[in-house]
Amino acid sequence: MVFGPPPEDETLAHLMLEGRLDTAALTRARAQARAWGMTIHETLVADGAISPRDWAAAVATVSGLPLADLIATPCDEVLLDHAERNFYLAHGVIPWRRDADRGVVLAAVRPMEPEALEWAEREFPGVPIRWAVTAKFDILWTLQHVFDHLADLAAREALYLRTPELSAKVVFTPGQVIFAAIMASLLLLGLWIAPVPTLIAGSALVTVFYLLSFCFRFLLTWVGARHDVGIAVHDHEIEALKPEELPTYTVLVPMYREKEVLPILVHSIRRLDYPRAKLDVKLVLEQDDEETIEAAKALHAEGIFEIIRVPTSLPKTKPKACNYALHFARGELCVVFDAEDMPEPDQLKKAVALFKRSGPEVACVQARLNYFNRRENFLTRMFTLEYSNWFDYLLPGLHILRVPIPLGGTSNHFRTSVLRDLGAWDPYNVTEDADLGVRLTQAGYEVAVVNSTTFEEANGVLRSWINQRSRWIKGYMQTWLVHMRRPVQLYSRLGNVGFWGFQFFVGFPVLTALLNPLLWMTTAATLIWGSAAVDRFFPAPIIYLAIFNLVVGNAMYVYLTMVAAAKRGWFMLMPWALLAPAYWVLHSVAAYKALWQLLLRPHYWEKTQHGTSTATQEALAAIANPGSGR
Amino acid sequence: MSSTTVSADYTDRQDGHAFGGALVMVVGTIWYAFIADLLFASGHLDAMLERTWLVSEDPAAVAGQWLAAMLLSLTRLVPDAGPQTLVMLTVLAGGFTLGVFYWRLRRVHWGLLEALAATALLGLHPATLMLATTGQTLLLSVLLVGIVALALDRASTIGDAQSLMALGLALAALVLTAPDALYIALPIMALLPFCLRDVRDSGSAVALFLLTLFPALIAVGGILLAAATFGEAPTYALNRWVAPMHGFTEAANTPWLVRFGGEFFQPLLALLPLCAVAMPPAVLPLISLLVRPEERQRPATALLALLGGPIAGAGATLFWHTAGPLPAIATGMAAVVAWTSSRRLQSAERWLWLVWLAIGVVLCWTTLWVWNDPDRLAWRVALFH
Repeated sequence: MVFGPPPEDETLAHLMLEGRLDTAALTRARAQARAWGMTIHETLVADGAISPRDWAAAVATVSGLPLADLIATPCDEVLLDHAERNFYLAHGVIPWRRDADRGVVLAAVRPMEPEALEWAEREFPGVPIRWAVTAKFDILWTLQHVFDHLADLAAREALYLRTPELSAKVVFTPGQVIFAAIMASLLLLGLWIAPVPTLIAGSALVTVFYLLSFCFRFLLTWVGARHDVGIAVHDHEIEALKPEELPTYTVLVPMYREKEVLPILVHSIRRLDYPRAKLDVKLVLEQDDEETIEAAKALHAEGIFEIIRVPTSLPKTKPKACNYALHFARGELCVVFDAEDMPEPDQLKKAVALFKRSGPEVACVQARLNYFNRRENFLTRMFTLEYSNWFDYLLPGLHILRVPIPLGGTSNHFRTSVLRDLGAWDPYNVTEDADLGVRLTQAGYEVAVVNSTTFEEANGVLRSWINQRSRWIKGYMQTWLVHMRRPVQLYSRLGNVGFWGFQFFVGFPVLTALLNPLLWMTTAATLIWGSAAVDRFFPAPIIYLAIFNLVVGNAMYVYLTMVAAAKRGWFMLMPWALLAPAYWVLHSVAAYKALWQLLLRPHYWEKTQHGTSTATQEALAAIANPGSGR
Repeated sequence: MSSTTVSADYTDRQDGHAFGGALVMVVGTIWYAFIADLLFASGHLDAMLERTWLVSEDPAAVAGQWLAAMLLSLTRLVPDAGPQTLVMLTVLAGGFTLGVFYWRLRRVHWGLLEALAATALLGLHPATLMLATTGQTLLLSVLLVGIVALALDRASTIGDAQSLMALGLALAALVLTAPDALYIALPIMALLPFCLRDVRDSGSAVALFLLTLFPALIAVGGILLAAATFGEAPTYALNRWVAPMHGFTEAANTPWLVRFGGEFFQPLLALLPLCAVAMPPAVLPLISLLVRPEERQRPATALLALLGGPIAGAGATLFWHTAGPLPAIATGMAAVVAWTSSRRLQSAERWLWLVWLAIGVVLCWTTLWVWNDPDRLAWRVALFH
C-alpha cells in the first residue's frame, strides 16, 4: 500500500533502466524544471522525451498502483460531475470506478497530491478513496466523451441563452426590420413625390458620409503613424519576466481540412520563447475531419499538443470550435492562432508583460498580423499593404483614441477567465473576433495592441480571396446589426468617441464597399455624357465636396495604403499602392456576395484554403529538411 | 525623486510654457494690431487690400494659390467682412506665430528672458511686421515654409511614418498656396536624400520620395481634374505657374527685376548677404554644421535655413516670378526660426542669436537697400507719418 505521492526519482530511474529515457534528456529536464518551477515529469512530457502514457505506466509500476486506461476501461459516468470538469482538467484527476465496498477509485496523473486528496474527501465523504494512475490524454478523452453533448450545446448556445441580444443567431430583430421598412418606404415615397430633391438629399448624405469616413481613416493613420505608438513592450520588460512566474498559456488552433500546414504550426509552437511545459496547445479539429486528425496524430508531437475533437453540429464555425475547446483550456491566458500562423517567438512573453503591466481592465492583447508571402502576386501584395495599414496604423490609432478594437482573426491573447465570463465567442458571427472586441469594450474592458507580429499566408487565389473577404464583410454586417440593436445603450457604454468610432470603423466601410459601384457608375456617366447628366443631383456646394472626395479622398486613400509599407520598411510594395482602386473593386464584389449571404445563409462559414502559397510550400520543405539550407 | 514626481514636474512646466505662449500670443496680436491701426490711419493699405480682396473673383489669378484663395473665399462668407478683415487675419496669424515661437523656444530650454527677448526682436523685425500688418497672403506661404522646415527636421531626426506624412502634406499645402513655392520645394527635394533616414538603396529612395511628394502630386492632380470637370483646359489651371510673373506683368518694372530678372547667380549672390543681414542668426546653422557632428548627420534643416531663402529667391528671379527680395528673405527667416526652435542651443549660442538678431533688426530698419522698393518705402512712411 502506498501512502504518499509516488516518488519521482524512482520513476525516473525505472524509465532509464527500461531504456525509455536517456541521461541527456533527464539533465535537460532537470534544468528546465528548476528554471520553470515545474516538475520533471511535466518538462519531460513537454520536451517529447517521454509520452504521458509511458510516464503513467512507469509510475504505476513503481508505486504499485493500477494503471487506468480510460479508453479501454472508461469511467463510471455516474461518478462524474459536470460542474467539476475544470477541476478534473486542472489537477489531472477523475473518478474512475467504484469498488465492491463502495470505495471510489480516482484515476490521476499525479496520484495522492494534497489538493486532489482534499478534494476527494470533500466530494466523497466517508467513502474509502483509492488511486490509480492515468495519463492526461485519457482524462481529456473521457471528458470529451462524457460531456460531449453538454460542451457542444454550450459552445453553440451559451451566449444566445444568456444574452440573446448580443448573439448573431437572429440576424435582424423585428425592430430592425420595421425600421428598415419605414426607411425604404420613405425613400420610395420621396422618389415618387419629389425625385430630384430626394436624389439631391441622397447625394449630399453620401458625399458627407464619404468625407467623414476619409477624415476618420486619415486621423487613425496619422495617430498610428507615430514612431512611439507601436512600441508596447520593450526588451527589458521581457528580460525581467521570471520563467517560474509565467502562467500556463493555452494556445487554441482551430483547423479544418488543413493537414498540409500542420508541420508549420508545430514548428511555430516549438519556436515560441516560452517554457514549453507551460504551454497547453489544443489542436481544435472537427470530428468529421478524419484526415487532419490522423495527420496530427502521425506527427507524434510532444505531450503539450492535445487534439480536441469538436462534435459535428451546426453552425460549423471557427468560433463554435473555439468555444468547445475553451472548455478544456487550462491556461490562465489563452491565444488563438490559425494553423499556418508563424508568430514571432517572443509574442507570448510580450503579451504576458503587457498584461502584467496593465490593469485588470485590459482583457485582451491583439498582436499584429502580416503576411510572409507578400511578394507572390497582386493579391498578396495588396493584402499585405492592407494588413500593414490595419495592424500597424489603424488598430494602434483606435487604441489611442479609445475606440473599440475589432480583433483580428488570430493572435488575440485573452485572460481566460474574462473570456469565459463574457460567454466567449459568438458561434453565429462569422467575424467573431471583431464582435468580441466590441463586446469586451461594452463590458468595460480594454483591448491593447502589442508590438509583435504573427505572419500568415495571404490569400493569393482570387476566388478564395473573394470568399474569405465576403465572410469578413458579412461578419462586420452581423456585428454592426447586433450591436446596433440597442443604439442608446451602445452609446452610453462606448461613449461619444467609441460610438462614432464603431460606426466609422465597423459600419461605414461595409456601406462604402456597397455604395462604391454606384458612385463609379455616376462618375462614368459624367465622363461619357458630360457633367450635365448628373448636374441636377449635385448642386454647387455638394459637387465641390464630391469632387474633393473623388480626387483628393481617393488619392489620399491610395496614399495611406502607400504609407502602410513605411513602418516595416517594405518600400518595394509602395508603388503597388497605386493599384489600390482595382483592389477596391474586388472589395465591392465581395461586399455584394456578403450581402447576399447575409440574407440567405447568414451563418455559413466560407472556408479559406491555406497552404496554396509557394512560400508556404517552401516553409514546409524547409521544416522537413532543416539541413537543406533554406 | 520618483518618476511620478518628475513626470508631474515636467507636465507642470509644459503647461507653464503653453500658458506663457498664450500670453505672448495675445501681446503679439495687440502689438501687430497697433501697427496695423497706424497704417490704416494713413490710408496706405486700402488699395493693396482691395486688390487682394478681389483676387478670389478671378479664377485665373487664383490658379496656383488655391489654399489662399479658399481662405479668402471663406473669409468673404463672414458677414460684414471686407478688405480690412484681411489685416485682422494676418495680425492674428502673426500674433499666433509669435506665441508658438516663444512656446517652442521654451521647450528647447531657452530661459524666460531669452525667449521673451527673441520673440520681441522677431516681432520688431520689419519683415515680420510687414507680413503681419499688410493683409497679404505671403504670410501664409511663409508660415508654411516654417512648417515644412519643421517637418523636414522631424523627418530627418525621427523619420517615422508620421513625419514623412507631415512633410508630404506640408509640401502639398505650400505648393497649393503660392506659385513661387516651386522654388522652395525644389531645393527641399534636393535635400530629401539628406533627411530621409531610411534611404538604403535606389528602391527605398524612390519609395520615400514617392511618399513625401505624393500629396503634392495629389494636390496638383486634383486641381487639374477639378478644372477638367468644370470644362476648363489644364493650362487654365496652371496659368499662374506658366505665365511670366504669375500674371503680374506690371511687376516686371520693379527695381529688383530690372536689375536681376532672368539671372540666377547674380541674384543668388545678392540674396546671400541680404538674407544674412536681415536675419544674421542664419549664420548659426552654418557654424553648427561645421562644429557639430550630429548636425552634419541631419543637415537638411540647417542647409534650408542657410540657403533655402537665397536659392528660392534666385530661382524665382531667374523665371521672373518675384517682384523683389522680400519673399526670399521671409522664406529664409522662416527656415531660420524653425531651425532655432528645434535645436537645443548652448547658452552662449542663444545670446549670440539674440545679439545677431538685434543687429539684424537695427540694420533692416536703417539700411537703405531694404527700403529702395516703392511699396516698402510707402509702408515705412505710412508707419512713421
